[in-house]
Amino acid sequence: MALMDRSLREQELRLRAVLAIFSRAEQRVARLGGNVGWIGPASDAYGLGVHALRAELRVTGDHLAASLAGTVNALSASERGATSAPGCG
Amino acid sequence: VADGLIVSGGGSTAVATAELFEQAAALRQVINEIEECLARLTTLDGAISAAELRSWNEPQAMYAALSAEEKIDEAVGALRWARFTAQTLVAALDASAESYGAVERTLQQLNQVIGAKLSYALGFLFPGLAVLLAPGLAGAALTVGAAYELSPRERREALRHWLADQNDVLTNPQLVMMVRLGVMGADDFLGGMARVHPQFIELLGDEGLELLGLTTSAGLLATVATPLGALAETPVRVDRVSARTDKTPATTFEERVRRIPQGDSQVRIDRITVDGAPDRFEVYIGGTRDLSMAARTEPWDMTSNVHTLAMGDAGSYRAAQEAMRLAGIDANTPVQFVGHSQGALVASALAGSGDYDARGLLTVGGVVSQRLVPEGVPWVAIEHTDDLVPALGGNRVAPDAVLVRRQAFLGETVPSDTLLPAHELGRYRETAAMLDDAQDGRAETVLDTLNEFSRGADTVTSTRYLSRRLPN
Repeated sequence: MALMDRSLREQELRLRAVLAIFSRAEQRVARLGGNVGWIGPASDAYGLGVHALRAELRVTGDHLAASLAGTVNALSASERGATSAPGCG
Repeated sequence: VADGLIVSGGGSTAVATAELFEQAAALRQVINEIEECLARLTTLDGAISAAELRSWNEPQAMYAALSAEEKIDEAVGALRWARFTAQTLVAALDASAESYGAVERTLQQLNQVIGAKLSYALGFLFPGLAVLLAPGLAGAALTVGAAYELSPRERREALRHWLADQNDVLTNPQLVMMVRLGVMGADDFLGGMARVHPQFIELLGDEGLELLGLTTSAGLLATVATPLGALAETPVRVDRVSARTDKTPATTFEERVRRIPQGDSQVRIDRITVDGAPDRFEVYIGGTRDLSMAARTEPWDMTSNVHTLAMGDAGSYRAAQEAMRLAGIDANTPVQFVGHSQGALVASALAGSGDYDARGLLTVGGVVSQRLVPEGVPWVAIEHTDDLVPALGGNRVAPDAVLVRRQAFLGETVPSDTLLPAHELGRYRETAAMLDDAQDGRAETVLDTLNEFSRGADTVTSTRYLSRRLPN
């Protein structure tokens, strides 16, 4: 089980690194304006595209946060199991 | 966009607002970041196998870890969608900039051809009219010029105020475009008058070998006007008027535009001392000070404007050369040029002369003739589309130069307290500051080159030079 714990710890660290990079991308997209000098339908379509990108990144962010939470929970559960196992009290 | 900057050139055929290029660059970074996330998540995905997890006899831990795996897969899927959306947006922005550039180039070529044909036809069909009108027009121009020169100061001021009241018309992008086409068509008009075959004029003119054009028109104007006492060149004298040592060189476009002299002195030269390297210089040249057609004491006048355009022996050009000689600049000294209006014309002529080791050029509101365009010198040209003065230089043909355009009075009332407000140095400072804020990739590449020139500067000594015309 120690091997599993080590793998999960590494997964947690890697997920945190991914989240840091992802957060930069998300902030960059949040700063994008909807206006690039176009007028009319083209401008609306671009604004819509930026909006869709923000929504997709929000969904991605939720998945990444959930995977990190799952990893942390697995680690905690594993540690709890180890401490409550016979002979470990 | 209010205050929108349009950026073109820099070796690219794309033309668009700085905002568009900025967003395309941001989206490219987003795509890179998404790809890095995807690469990291993909390697993570295989780190713990599903079989290993299922064999784990800690049910709570196992379910949490399996759920984490599932969410990683979903995050990968969502990231791929986001990457596709970002790539689509970048492709749309690039296509828009390319098609805008193509439409603009086509329209410019079409306008030039139509303007040239119309000018030729006018010259061909109405040469008598031109000959008939020429003495009258020349007489009227001379009378008006003489009256202006001889009139009391208040009258001149009144005339300036009257012209400034017409700023709504004079500061109109459509008028500016017509003036530009008129300038480009001057040689065709004369060709029509002289009954030269139109294809021969086309071959020699701006649409062909570019042997005829603004330079020949300006030369002809100077030749015709000189015997009448106008536009006659004189010797010039240059004096050093002040010197002071600053701590830092200019690092932004706005700072450089701010250093262009506006008072009596017409040239400022910054000597930049860099440890372990030869001294280098930034030459700042101011705009036209005197609008009269007859040369008086000011070399930054219309006489110099016409002679520099004609690639002749202009007083302001000689004065700038002399100031550079006094500062210690020779053919091997690294030098950069910054100029406004006539200063931009002189700066580009100096940079393109081949007499100096020109390392960079920044021009604002410049009447820059096509023949003066320096090749291989990093160059940013800022022009207002409602400024009449740059239009007098005709169409620009310098694909490597980064051209930044902005309508200074878009959605604003044009003030009538000064003549041609869109040409004022203060307005160009505003545009230069916007360009600094826009962080446009092409302009930033040139700015980096300009700044590299003075990197590691120990001291910067600024010297101002005043020039005056001497009697012949």
